[in-house]
Amino acid sequence: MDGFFCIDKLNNLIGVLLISGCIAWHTWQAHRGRRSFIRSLPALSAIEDAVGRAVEMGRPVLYIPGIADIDDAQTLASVSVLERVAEDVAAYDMPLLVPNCCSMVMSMTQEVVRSAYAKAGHPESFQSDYVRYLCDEQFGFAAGASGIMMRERPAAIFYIGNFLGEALILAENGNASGAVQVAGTATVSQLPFFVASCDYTLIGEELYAASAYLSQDPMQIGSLKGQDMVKAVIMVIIVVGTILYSLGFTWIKDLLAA
Amino acid sequence: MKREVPLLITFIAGGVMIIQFYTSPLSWLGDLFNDFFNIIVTCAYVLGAASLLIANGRKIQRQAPGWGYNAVLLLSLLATLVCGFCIFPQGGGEAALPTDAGTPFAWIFQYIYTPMSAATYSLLAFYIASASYRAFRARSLEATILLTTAFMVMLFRIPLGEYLWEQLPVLHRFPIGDFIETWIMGSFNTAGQRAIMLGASVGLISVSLKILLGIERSYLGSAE
Amino acid sequence: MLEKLNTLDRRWIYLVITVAVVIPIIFPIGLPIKISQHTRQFYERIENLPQGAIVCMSFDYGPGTRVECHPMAEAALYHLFSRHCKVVAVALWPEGALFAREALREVAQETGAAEGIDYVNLGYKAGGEVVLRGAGDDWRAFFPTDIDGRSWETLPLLENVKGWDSIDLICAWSMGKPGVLEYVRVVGGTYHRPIITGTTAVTSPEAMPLLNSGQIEGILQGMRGASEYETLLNRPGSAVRGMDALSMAHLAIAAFIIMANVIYWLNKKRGQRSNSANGGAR
Repeated sequence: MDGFFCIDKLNNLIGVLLISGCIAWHTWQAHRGRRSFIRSLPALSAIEDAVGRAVEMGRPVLYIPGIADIDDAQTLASVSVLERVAEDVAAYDMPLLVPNCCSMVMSMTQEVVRSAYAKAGHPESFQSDYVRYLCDEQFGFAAGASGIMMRERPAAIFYIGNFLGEALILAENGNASGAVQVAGTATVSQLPFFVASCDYTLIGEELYAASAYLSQDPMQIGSLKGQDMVKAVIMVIIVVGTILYSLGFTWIKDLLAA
Repeated sequence: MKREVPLLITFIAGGVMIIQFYTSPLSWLGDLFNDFFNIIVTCAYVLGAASLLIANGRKIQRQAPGWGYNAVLLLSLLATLVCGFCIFPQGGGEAALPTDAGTPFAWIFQYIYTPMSAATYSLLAFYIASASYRAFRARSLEATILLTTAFMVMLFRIPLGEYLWEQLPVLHRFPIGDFIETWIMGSFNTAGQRAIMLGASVGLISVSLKILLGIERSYLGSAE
Repeated sequence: MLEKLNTLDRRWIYLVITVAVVIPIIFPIGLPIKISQHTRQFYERIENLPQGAIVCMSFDYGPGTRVECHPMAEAALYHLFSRHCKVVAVALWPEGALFAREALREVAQETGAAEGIDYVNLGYKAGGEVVLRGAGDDWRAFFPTDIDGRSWETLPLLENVKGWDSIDLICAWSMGKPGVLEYVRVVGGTYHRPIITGTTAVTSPEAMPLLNSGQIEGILQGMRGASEYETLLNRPGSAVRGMDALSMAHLAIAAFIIMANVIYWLNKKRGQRSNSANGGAR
């Protein structure tokens, strides 16, 4: 650290500025009217079918926004999916159950679900115990949520957000309850469990793209194009860096080192 | 105004956190904002407790099916709170806390909470077995590769698998454990993990940027 | 019969797994444990510490994963105390502080390490990454007392502990968030202190890229890593005892996978045969 600015974080700052700049540029281009293509994400396309199934069967929909607190970006990405699910469920005046692991997340999801029912013209249908706090401890939460699955028998279950060791416990109980299951997480270690037990899974960055996909907002879709450009640059750096490093030139590694 | 004020707070808080990360004299601002966050999270526990009391209290009041379980939950909550706040160890001095060894709270932790939590975690062994039975089918070439890899990792990373491998004629000369550790886990697995992690990290930056700039506002609830 | 096996009631699977786990616990087999390269690397990292080195041990696990992480922590404490290293325990998980107390007391009794001189338990501090950044160069401001409320002056070991720069090695028992990733970001990234870790088997693949990039210098992976480490130290504990049960459970799952695929293959064959029979009739 030298003086006012932490000079050892300069490479980090330049990287963040370049990545943010690229994403912001494509978002701005979209704002100016340039349209981009977004590929189909089956897990998100399945939301409507899953909610439709719940309506046909007359059973509730269960949405679990992960076990992380509000400071986790996965939780925030999950809330944008919840908004869409809540709007779909509220439109049919069906119950949407949202058990929470963190009280802060509960207050946020409560607001999202409440406003979805109000927007759909059924504010009276929203009951405060639809969105409830269960337990801060992950396995206590898993036990509570599994209990809800077995008692309420939801027709569709969504696991979107940050999950840890409880992922498989939840997904297998959901599977046993006979529900259609849609999962999404950027927690790499839990992805195999969701893929094995759920019908559809959003993998890694697809979770963060969900908001753009569901809203079809051109600016958000533009930001996805920016992300793709950044990934292309990273791929080039990996290939060139590997070749140079193998030849004994270490300057790319030194440049990127923390 | 209902939306503009939270968006402004988000922008200022996010901006301050970014600036303090790169400037050492301003790191106190980051600590201050983190303190605010911790205080708010702590206060939010009251919301959680209130939600538990209301949701379970209503069921007990209505005598809904299974209301006895709700009563057990509320009683356990109250008993743990009382033990954790009020019952101090005898003769422990001024610095003694209700969470010290030998207190009822420590007993609850050691003999109720720990085994129950461990029991729930141990269910994973059963669920992994049932999920494997259902999911690992050689339906396509990709599924077969996945199945074979999973099978090898599962069988040959345990002492029994290594022992059985060593009994095989000729093949035992090939170090299966090193192959799994260096190639399957160290190369293919790590490469895949990194690809997902890199993609997710770029997505994370993008989401953060959209939240800071107010493009992503789902967390504020639907605009009515 | 095939159809029945194809949609086998999951409770039969659970029953077989239960038997596979319980029998080796009652009648241990004592299978030989081979030491992997990663465990050896972890062991060497501690072995290379000079006498009197100060190690920060972070207990970031809960009761659920105690069975995997706690044997690692006890074995590492034994290793460190045997090499006359000092340990400062912290916890980013509330339950971790109590596990730290349990492990320190048990191993201290075994090795004769003295509280306050050879080890100190600073307890739990809420905030995760914030704690690591906040403690920075002045631990005393962040941890004014140890877990039992003793002040900094009464603990001689802490005389030499100012901030992260006073720590020779960080050893994080990590099962989630906050965990080793937070240490890598803050303590490794900003203060450039060496880090070793022990993770659950499920989360260890996530930590592997950190090992390959050199951001961590050693890793114990799940119960297997713990049992290898106990074997290296010649101090068999609960991890070594659990390996027979783990082996049998893996074997049972592998058998189920084979069975599922044989049934799938036979069903597919039968389907093809009936299809061709139908085609012929047409």
